[in-house]
Order: sequence, then C-alpha cells, then structure tokens
Amino acid sequence: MATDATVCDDNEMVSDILAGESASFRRIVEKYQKPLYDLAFRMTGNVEDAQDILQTSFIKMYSSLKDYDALRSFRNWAYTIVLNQTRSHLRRKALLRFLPFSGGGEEESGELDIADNSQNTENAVAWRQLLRDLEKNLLKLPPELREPFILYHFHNITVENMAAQLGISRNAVHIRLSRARTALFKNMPALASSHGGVYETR
Amino acid sequence: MKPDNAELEKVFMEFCKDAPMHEPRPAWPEIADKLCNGARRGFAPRFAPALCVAAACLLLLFALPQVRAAAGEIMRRLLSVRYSLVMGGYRTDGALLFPDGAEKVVRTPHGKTVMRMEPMGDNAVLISAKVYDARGNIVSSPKLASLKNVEAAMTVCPGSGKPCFTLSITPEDTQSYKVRVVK
Repeated sequence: MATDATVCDDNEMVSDILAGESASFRRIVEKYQKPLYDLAFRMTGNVEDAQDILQTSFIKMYSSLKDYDALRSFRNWAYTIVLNQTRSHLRRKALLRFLPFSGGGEEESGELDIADNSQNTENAVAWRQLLRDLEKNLLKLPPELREPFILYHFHNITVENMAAQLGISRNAVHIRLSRARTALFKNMPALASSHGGVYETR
Repeated sequence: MKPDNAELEKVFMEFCKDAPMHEPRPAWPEIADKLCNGARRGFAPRFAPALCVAAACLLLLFALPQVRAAAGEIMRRLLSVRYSLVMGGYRTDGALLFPDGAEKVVRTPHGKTVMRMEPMGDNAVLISAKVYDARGNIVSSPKLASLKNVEAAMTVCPGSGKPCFTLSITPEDTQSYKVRVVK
C-alpha cells in the first residue's frame, strides 16, 4: 500500500513536472520501474515485451500527466496504465499468432535473483523451482484471471485498489482471484504436497 | 480434500510473500531518448495514421450524394456575404450567395441580354444583366436588386445614339422569372 508520505511525494513530483521541471520525471521512472516491469513481465513472460511495455507506459504517463487526478494515488494510476498497455500488447500478440511467419510464441524467462528464503538450501531450491512452475502456470491463465492474482499475491495490492485499477467490482475481483487460485493449484500438484500434501489437486 | 478459497489464499500468500521482483534494465535512458525524439518529431508523425484514416473516412462520406449536397450548401454559405436591401419601406436581410443562379438569354430589338438571377435570402434576388450589341460586344452590365414576385424595371441604353429599352422583370425564383421588353 502507498503511504501518505509516498502519495505526497508523488504529487510533488507530478507538480514539478507539470511546472516544466521534466527532470522530476526521471525520479518517477526510477521509483516505479521495478514494480511496473515486474507486473509487465509476469503478465507477458517475456523480457523484451515487458521492457517495451514499461517504456511505452512511462511515455504514455508523461504525455497524459496533465490529466492525472491528484486525488487518486499515482501508483494506482501508473498500474492502470501498465495494465492497459499490457492488455493491448497481449491482444496484438494473440492476433499475430493467427498470421503465418509471425515468429514463434516462445516465452523467455527472466533471470530471477531469488534470495535464499530458508536456511535450508534444499528447501530454497525446491521453492525456487515451484515459483518457476507458478510463473509458467500463470501464463496459461487468461489475462483477466492473471491480472488480479499477480496484483494481489506479488504486488500486495488491496482488493479495493485492484477493483479501481481493473475497473470492476470488488466482488468480481474476489471471484477472479478465487478462480485463478483454484486453477493454479489444480495445475501444481507439487505445491499441494509442499504444503503438507493433504490437498487433492484433481 | 479440496481446499477452500480462504485456504488457497493462505497457501499462495505464504508461497509468494518472498518472491523477489524481476529487475528491469534501467529504463530512463531509453525513455529520455524517446521523449526527446517525440518532441522533435512533433505532431504530424504521431498522428499521421489517424489523419490518414480520417481522410479515408471523409472520402467515403463524400461518395454519398446527400453528404456532397450538404457539404456544397455549407461551402456556399461560407462563401456568401451578408446584405441588406430596402425597397419601398420594406427591408430584408440575408446572405448573397455567389455560385448559384441560372442564365437566361433575352432577345431584344438591339441584340441580346443575358440575365442571371442570384438568390438573396428567401425573398429577394440580385438581377445581373449583360447587354450585348448586334455584333456580340458587351455594352453594359447593369445590376438590380429586386423582390420575388414583384415586377421590376431595368432600363438599358446599349450605346450612344441608339434607343434605350426597358426590361420588366418579375422574379419567381432564381431558376424562373418573367421578363419582357417594355419599349
């Protein structure tokens, strides 16, 4: 969640940019590039696509900054722009799949620098493998289920904020989250066993 | 046993909480470059595809006769000038439209007169005449503003030493009017 201090900081930077101090935009880029890239990458599964989406989104933000409503969280606004750009990208890509010689649909996995979250190295390796599986399975979900899952579980966005970003009701967010979790869990038997192995995945 | 949604939420929360974020390449240099290039490129290239589409749509629209007629009417009005005509205590205001009017050739005892009526609003017309002598030279170009369905007289003197004649004109509209040589 964005704190009040962060919101003030963002609004100050936006005011500076609108006042002609475009160098402040660099601060915004540096502040938000990591979470926004992560979102784009998890949505597309491709490093270059995610990098393109990131760039396009920042340029879009810069050009429409005058329309930004300061009462709204800048972070939410930025997320909404990235999600819109990602959707357009995925739609274009889906269309290109129907065209001959349009290049392979190979997904390119980004290198994850996963910190050892356990003292037990063996567990860390298993967790890392599971995380890769989760990312692969996420890409098999339809984008409308992928979006809320990534936002909620990887970016800690609240259901309320997500509803605003996705333009749907809170109830719809809950439903999509539930469907995404069920589908992922079903496709990941290893996850069930890693959590005590008491759940059926089929 | 199948886990319910709350349990699944807990499972994924626990599982994803330490997942690190993917690191991008530094985005600023490329963004700064694009912003500078964008500013240099300006309006035209960014909107060129949209302009092409808009132009194509306009061409398609103009293929429709009704649209062409409406557009013609708009252009005529744009090219018109306002006028005010006072005749015998009656005043009328409107727009004088240039590109309309039908020509009518009137044979006179001294040659021919080509008359053109141009509309001036709903009630008035502008009568322009070109008077030719027997050899086909223009000798006079009188103009007369008149009301529709009101008889107006235009006296023409084609040349020195030759008798004048008067045309009596009753405009009905720009396409039809009665005209007679009085004398």
